[in-house]
Amino acid sequence: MKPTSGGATVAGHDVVEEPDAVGRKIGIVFQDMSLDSELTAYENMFIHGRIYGLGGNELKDKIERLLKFVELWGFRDRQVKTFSGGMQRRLEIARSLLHEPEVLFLDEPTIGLDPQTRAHIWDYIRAMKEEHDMTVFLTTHYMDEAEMLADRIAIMDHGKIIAEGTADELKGLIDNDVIYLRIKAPEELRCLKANFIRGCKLLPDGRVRLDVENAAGALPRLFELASRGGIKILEVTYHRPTLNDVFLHLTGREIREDVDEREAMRVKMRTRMRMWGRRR
Amino acid sequence: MRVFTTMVYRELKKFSHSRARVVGSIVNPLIWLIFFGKGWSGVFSNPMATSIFGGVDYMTYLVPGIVAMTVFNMSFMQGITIIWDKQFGFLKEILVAPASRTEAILGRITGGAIRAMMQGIIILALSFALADLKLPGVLPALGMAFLVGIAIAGMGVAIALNMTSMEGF
Repeated sequence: MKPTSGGATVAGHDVVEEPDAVGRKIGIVFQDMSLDSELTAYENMFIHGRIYGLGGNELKDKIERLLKFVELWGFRDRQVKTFSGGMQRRLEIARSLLHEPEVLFLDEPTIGLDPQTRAHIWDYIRAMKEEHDMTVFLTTHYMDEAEMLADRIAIMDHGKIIAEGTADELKGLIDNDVIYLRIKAPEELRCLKANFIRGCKLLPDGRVRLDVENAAGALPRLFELASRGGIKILEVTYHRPTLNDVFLHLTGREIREDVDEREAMRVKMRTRMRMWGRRR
Repeated sequence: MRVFTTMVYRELKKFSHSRARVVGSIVNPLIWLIFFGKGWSGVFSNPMATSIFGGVDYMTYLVPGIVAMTVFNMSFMQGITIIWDKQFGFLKEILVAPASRTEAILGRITGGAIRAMMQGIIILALSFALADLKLPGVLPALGMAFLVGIAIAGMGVAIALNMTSMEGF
């Protein structure tokens, strides 16, 4: 595949000139499974090691160490097709580490997994970052995952990076608290207006989103305002801005009320969050 | 060379794991040999038929054909495993690896040919009980089986590489 323009280097190697050198430096866990389900866990590891030029006792020791690391050593002689989704993911992570890559790409490694397995995989990612001193690129839709694991986070929308920084830096983009209200107003209400309300949006689900400097101080005044205007407040939630809010704020998903469902879905599919750990 | 041998290794490992596929691939030709072969050998036991068959009885005439057909079918099936890998992701693992793709393809073809040859050997071995076969003939038969396997597996793989779904194959 030839680039349309520009160039890229990975770990000091040009991706067009030296694809094999790049291949040896990177490990990849794809979004979809890429294991051979007919073979056993051990054979999958062995074949990967052989293709990457490993062999002999060195390969055997590494396979044993990594399968123990992801707690699959007891299942090494079972065919991969008998594995659960979480086990397959763990095996793929172990396999991607076999040739000791300098850069590891994880494409949504926790998608479709239960919370317990997700937490497990986070532990592995942290542990291998510590142990192998590698750069980890991780794409995810889960903001909590990005916040917990990443040193640096980049938010992507429509294939372009629209914001980049640490979790705290990104949260700094929204310097106010967020209040969500569900209200019952006498007439068709566009939005609430008051000097302490910085921003107000009607959400597609019928709720009202208010940006205020300090939610704790604004709430009593809000109730006062509501009772004076004959507005009934059915439900109130508020929180400090999270990465989720930053993401929604930047990609502007919630203000695209005019787009139809299909378009909204498409936007969601194309919107990726990307993060990576800095090399220490 | 390591990629080539690894791919051959993979094919043989897969073969040894799927007992159902091995048994399945043998049952069909055996049914042919036993029911079709034995059934018709009575009809073809006259001197004229024997002269058409080159001086051997019908079963002996039939066995090489069935063995060749087994090798043919099984090695052509090798193409399907490529489509399988495309759909279930293993092909990506090969494509991102710092490996020669020529070697990978040749390994797949050779692995498939060996696998098909082994299935042919099983049929051939079982046929010794059914027909009047000569042991020295086995070696050239194996050579032929391997060549047929390489050629047909190569053809199957070449077709499969240009296909995206299993249905057309």
